[in-house]
Amino acid sequence: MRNSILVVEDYAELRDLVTEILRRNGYEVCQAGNGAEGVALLRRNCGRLGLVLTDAAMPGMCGHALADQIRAGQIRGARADLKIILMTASHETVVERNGLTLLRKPFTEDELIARVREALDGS
Amino acid sequence: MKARQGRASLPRYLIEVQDEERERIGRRLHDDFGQQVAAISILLSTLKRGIPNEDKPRLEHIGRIREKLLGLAESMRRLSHELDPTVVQYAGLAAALRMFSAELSTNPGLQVSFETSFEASFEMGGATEILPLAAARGLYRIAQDALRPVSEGRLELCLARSARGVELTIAAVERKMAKALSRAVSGPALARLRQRAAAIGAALRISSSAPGFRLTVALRSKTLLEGGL
Repeated sequence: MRNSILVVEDYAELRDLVTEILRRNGYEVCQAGNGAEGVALLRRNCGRLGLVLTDAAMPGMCGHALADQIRAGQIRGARADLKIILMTASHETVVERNGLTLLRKPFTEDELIARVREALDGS
Repeated sequence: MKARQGRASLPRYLIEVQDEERERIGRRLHDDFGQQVAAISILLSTLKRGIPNEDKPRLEHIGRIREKLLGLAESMRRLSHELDPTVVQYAGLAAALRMFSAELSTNPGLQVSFETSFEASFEMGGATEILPLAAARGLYRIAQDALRPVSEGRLELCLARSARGVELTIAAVERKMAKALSRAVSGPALARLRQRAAAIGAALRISSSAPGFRLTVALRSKTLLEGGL
């Protein structure tokens, strides 16, 4: 469970790259192309996920809205204190408020793995 | 009568069309170009991992490409924020204005300070929970339009609670800066600012008493959400 990660990213190439790196580093990964798909996968996995790695800006349900739903305990089966990393190109200030970890785009492979380890080790 | 009404609303319509176009380009910059740069950055870092530590020239070369890539990403982020103020929605008006002030202050010779009297409520609840999003975006656009043309000097930007609602104030206290700001918000630029203020139900006031210059946008409480402030 601790090594299972949900990657939510609308840009397919980036989603696949991130997934490939995480799998290469021993993590189990499932993918979603937007927030709504992410919610569906969270419901289906019922507590088996240790981390959600989501893009901030996506069409439809964005990463912020997905994080808000998780924190509010509105997704059946997903813990409200689930670790969440928000991938963003912006200088976000809102993330600390929701207890999210921030990963600034563009990032490197090392930065990605370091953030994921930090988030999972803190749980 | 109808024709006159149509002419009167034309500038606001043009501003809306222009804003929509700017936001579309800003989103494209962020959602498409920004994602491509992010993908290149990851691929580059993967490439770097395959190069032995002894091969310093190639490692340095990749390091320089990455620096350029980070510079490109930062320029794109700035332009995207300038064109599409989605940051107001995510971070709240106060935080967005603080970021905007800080960004302007990176220009040599320009110093923009930002103060707000109800920081806590904005930060805790997010400005958009207190102000309707359209009003928050409108105030942000007014600050952008008024401050973008100014290139040097010291300016004060303030977002404050007033007896009747919310006030956004842009003030120049030094003579040279006051002149620059008054030039920036005169003629067609002033008409545009008034249209923006009117579009969100706010009043725009200008007060000029040497050596200072002050522009105030007052949003009445009836415009605010119930229970806010």
